[in-house]
Amino acid sequence: MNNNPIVLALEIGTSKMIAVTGEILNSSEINVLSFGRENPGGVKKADIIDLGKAASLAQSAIEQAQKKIGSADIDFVYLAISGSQISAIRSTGSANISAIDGTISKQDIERAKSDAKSKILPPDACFINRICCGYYIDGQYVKNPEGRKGGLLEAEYWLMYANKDKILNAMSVVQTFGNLEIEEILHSGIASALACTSPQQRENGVLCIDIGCGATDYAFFKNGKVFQAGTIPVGGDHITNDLSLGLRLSMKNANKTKLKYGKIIPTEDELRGDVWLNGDKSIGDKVIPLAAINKIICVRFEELFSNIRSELSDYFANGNIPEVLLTGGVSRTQDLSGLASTVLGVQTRNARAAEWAPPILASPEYSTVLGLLAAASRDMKKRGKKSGGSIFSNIFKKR
Amino acid sequence: MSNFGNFIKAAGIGGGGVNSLEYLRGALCGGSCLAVNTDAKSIEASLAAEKILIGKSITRSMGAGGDISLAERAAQDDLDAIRAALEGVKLLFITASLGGGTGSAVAPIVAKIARDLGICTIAFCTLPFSFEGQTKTRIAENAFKKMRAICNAAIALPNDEMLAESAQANIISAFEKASLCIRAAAGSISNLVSERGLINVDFNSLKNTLQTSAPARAAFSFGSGQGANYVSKALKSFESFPALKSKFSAQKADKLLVGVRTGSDMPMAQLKETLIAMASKFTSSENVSFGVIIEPSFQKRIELTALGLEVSDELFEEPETQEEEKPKETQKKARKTRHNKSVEQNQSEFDFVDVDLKRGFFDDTARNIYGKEDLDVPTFMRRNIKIQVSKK
Repeated sequence: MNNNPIVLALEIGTSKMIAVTGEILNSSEINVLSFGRENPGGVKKADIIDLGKAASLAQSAIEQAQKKIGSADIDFVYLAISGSQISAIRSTGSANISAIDGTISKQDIERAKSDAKSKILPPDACFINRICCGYYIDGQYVKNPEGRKGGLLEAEYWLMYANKDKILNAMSVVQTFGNLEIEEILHSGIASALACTSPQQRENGVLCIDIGCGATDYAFFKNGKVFQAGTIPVGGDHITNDLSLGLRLSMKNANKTKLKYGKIIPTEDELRGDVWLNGDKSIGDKVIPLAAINKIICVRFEELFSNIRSELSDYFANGNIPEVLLTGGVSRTQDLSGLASTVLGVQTRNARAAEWAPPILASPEYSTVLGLLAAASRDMKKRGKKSGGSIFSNIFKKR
Repeated sequence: MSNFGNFIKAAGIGGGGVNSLEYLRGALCGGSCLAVNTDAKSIEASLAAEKILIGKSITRSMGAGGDISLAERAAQDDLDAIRAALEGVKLLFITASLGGGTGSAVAPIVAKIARDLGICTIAFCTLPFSFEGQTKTRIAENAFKKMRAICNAAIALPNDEMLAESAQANIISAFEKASLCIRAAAGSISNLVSERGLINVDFNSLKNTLQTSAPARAAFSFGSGQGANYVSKALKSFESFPALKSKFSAQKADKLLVGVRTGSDMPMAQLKETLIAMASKFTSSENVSFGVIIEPSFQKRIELTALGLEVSDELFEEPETQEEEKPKETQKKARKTRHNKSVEQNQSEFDFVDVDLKRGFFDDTARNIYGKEDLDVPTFMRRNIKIQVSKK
């Protein structure tokens, strides 16, 4: 057995519980070893609403994944987090340059950083990801200010925080289970973006939108860094619910209708036509105009994309977003990228799965969990193998 | 003929307007393009011959960001530059997409300057999609009413209608379609008055057509056809031109200008029939000017344009000012919504029991407040969009 670190990635999702293990090779390549998948339960809108149920299902997924790798020990656990409880603020911290000649030192950078990070949160909230978007020297953007000259250094941060209890709930799913300890919690949108985009794309600027079953997560990368990420609490379940309420169908039938007839650009003939719910014309079968299905779905998606657009309005207005990618299970909706292009005003495509993803996990709904492995590989490269000790686990270990 | 080109100008205002200038370049018989915007990026990217970046000190060249009063101040700051650019122009086309800040606020100001200079002005305004929200729609409609009151002719090209038409083809083409219509219309009008045509309309008769004593609604239609049966194809698309469905479009015209662009291969008899068919869509009166342009490159291809005005004073209130309007409008809307609801219930065509606060599957979860709305409630319910679920 070689000594490569093994990472377990876990997503407690609305439509599935999924655990994937992967080995991070020396070259920081990822080798997916196993996965476990369980039915959904206890989660709605990406929030855990029934902890017992969600925990036992998630643990069963972890067990499945663990069993397949035999005796190999799991070194790190990465957990994805999403849901309406996630909020974020942009924070800029500043520091006057201490050296007389204006050369920026490590200490200056640290001062600017801690100034930016020292935001006071509501009492029941805790930080999940504090992301440095970059620095400004006298208003000019720079990626790494060390050794450069200037008068005022500013550090820009995107601080993501969430309800403490909910985070603890999600963590307890893992921590009550054997000797696993969480290394890192990562926002699902950032994770998905890491799985779906290349470093080059993240350098040039890319917005990745992961439309899941319970919520939609997005992350906007530029200059290789996360500039903004967030969650819009609308997902595939909302579309099913819209159809269920609008067409008076049960959730089950609404879901069936959505999967069978839900598309963005129907042909003219289809728009004039009707569809049968079951098709066998038995009792309970009913006729639904396809135009009604189409309208309900389209207005929901239009609203979703225009909400994303307004969240990122500064970047959209200045043309900073050259490319948009869609992923997540709902992104499989036919022609959705065309609608997104129209509303966002930027060329939008469906993301392709990471090259290293095994075929069985190459579908867009696995982006988040694969992205956790990508994040693990990135972190490993940054700080050398097995050093461990991220901010998050430190925060919670003390508790 | 060639020097008349100098008298024609197309002004693109705001982001959308400046973009559509790309389609107009070269279509104006030597006329030039003028880009006006608050956003330096858009101005830089534009290939227009003349560019005015307005309100540099006010918006810091970053655009108005949808803020009407900001854009208005930006334009007031650079009135002189705009006036100088319009000096000597006889026929001005204004293109703007209304609903944002710069287009909605600045287009009426440019139009006013043009009117003061005695320029014959035709405006092409795209209106936002209804899903872009009621605020945008209200801003756009208000701006359009202003444009209609100031310009000789103001043509509304609502994105909703343009999209409905091309839904089965490609969503993006709605934008392109609007731009192509503007190109065709501005192109044929310029050609006609530049006396390049087989049958010309001189500038004075154009001015005559577009001058009315009372405020008027514009009717505008465009159709094109190519290949076999190109004439009937073009007529069909001309008759079902999407913007005609807009509430801002007139269906009849008291004065009409009809233009045809086609190749030399078109038989005279058919040409005459086409012109009559086009005119009779809008009017039965004598007051029609015809123009025909022969384009050597148009083989089995035809473009039909009609621009008319319908005088109707009943619908012309002065466009309200923003401040006064806001509170009133919300009250009115609330009342209207309630009214509509009862109508819906009576009709049984829209069978909701209670439109308010339906969350279905999400009833047992916390409310999903985003902005001021609960996103768990279906969008179509919150937006009051009618869904027809049973046969008429």
